[in-house]
Amino acid sequence: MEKFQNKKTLFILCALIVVLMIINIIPGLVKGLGNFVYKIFSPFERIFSNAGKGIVGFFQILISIGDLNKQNLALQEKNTTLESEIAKLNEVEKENLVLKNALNISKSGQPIKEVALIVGKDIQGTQDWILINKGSKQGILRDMIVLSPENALVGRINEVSSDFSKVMLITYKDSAIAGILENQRIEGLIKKSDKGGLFMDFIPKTEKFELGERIITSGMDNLYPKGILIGTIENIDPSDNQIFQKITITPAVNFSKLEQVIIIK
Amino acid sequence: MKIVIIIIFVVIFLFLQIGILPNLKIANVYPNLFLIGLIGLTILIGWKQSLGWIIATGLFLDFYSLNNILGISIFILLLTCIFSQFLNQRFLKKENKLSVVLIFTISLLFFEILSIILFKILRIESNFYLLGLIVKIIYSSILALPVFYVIKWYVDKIKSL
Repeated sequence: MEKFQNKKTLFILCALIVVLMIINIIPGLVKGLGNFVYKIFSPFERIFSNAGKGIVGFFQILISIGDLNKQNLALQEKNTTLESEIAKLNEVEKENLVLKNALNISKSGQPIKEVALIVGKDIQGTQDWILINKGSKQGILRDMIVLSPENALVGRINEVSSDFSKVMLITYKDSAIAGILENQRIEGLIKKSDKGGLFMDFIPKTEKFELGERIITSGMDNLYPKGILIGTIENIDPSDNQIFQKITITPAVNFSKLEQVIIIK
Repeated sequence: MKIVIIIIFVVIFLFLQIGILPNLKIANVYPNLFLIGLIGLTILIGWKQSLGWIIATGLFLDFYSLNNILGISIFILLLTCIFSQFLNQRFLKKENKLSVVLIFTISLLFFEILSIILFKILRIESNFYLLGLIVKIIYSSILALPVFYVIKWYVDKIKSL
């Protein structure tokens, strides 16, 4: 009986190796199969993801209920100041929106290619990429830039199948973005930190800047257009180095809450 | 009845992995429940009996990975499961909680190291960073015991049918 079991296992493994080799060798077959798998699983993934967010959100509210009163008072004060500014800006925005829609350009000034929904995410624990519901049929190409609805940088297209595309996030280990501090105009490379966030290194110690300052793309890497928001300064680490300092960046995009993206040319 | 239990089981695992765990990240990582589940299943029924699950999970993980080379996850999962069975049979014969957690921790570490080596050999991009790896293994090891008992319940239920 055990011999039969061993032969069966061996046969399954050999057959599997042959089938997988054939699938991997034939061009386009993996992408085609991937497209099929995403079509089946993406609705379930969205349902699970939304349900999970709801449940976790509910418990987060329960936990943070003590702080809500303090936050509420502070926000009411802030709200009054902002209300007056909003009124002024609303008029300008309306005019701006009409003009931009006419030209089909995003708020950051880039031509919009597509608006896509996130239908899947990396499920293996590191969240390096997201799956969107637009692919080659909609004219999506590798290396196109992906922004959040608020026009902050999300990443770029890494892989395209007919109906879906995978977006490599800016928090991916090997990604390096040429960035610039919006006010101080200090340039540097933004990379993923060991803690999973972002950092900008090799900034001369003579340079002074404030926490919360915005960092945008500089366009020097020829990958990302100039002027897209990346994040804000979270922390300044003077380190032991005599010449340089390092800043930790909070990404402008909350990747776990992102539901929709804009793809630009 | 058997198929209903399997479907419920798969749906619960998918929901936890896709819906809940991404919201409970530590140092930007969260555990891979599929891997923990497979190691648990291997400890309980052996890798040969878990082969179907290993292939299905491996294919699913391969489609949901950046490299899109089918077979890599199956290969790594298969070796990890064989390794965890080897650990279970040779070194940790008594089924106590500490032994189970140890098998899980060593097997998870084996999986991560094997993935890094294989990705380097095949020149596939990987998002490896040391802190993430350490946190992921500790986080996964904490979840291992409850997952193991859920798997045990599942195996007993299936056997009784």
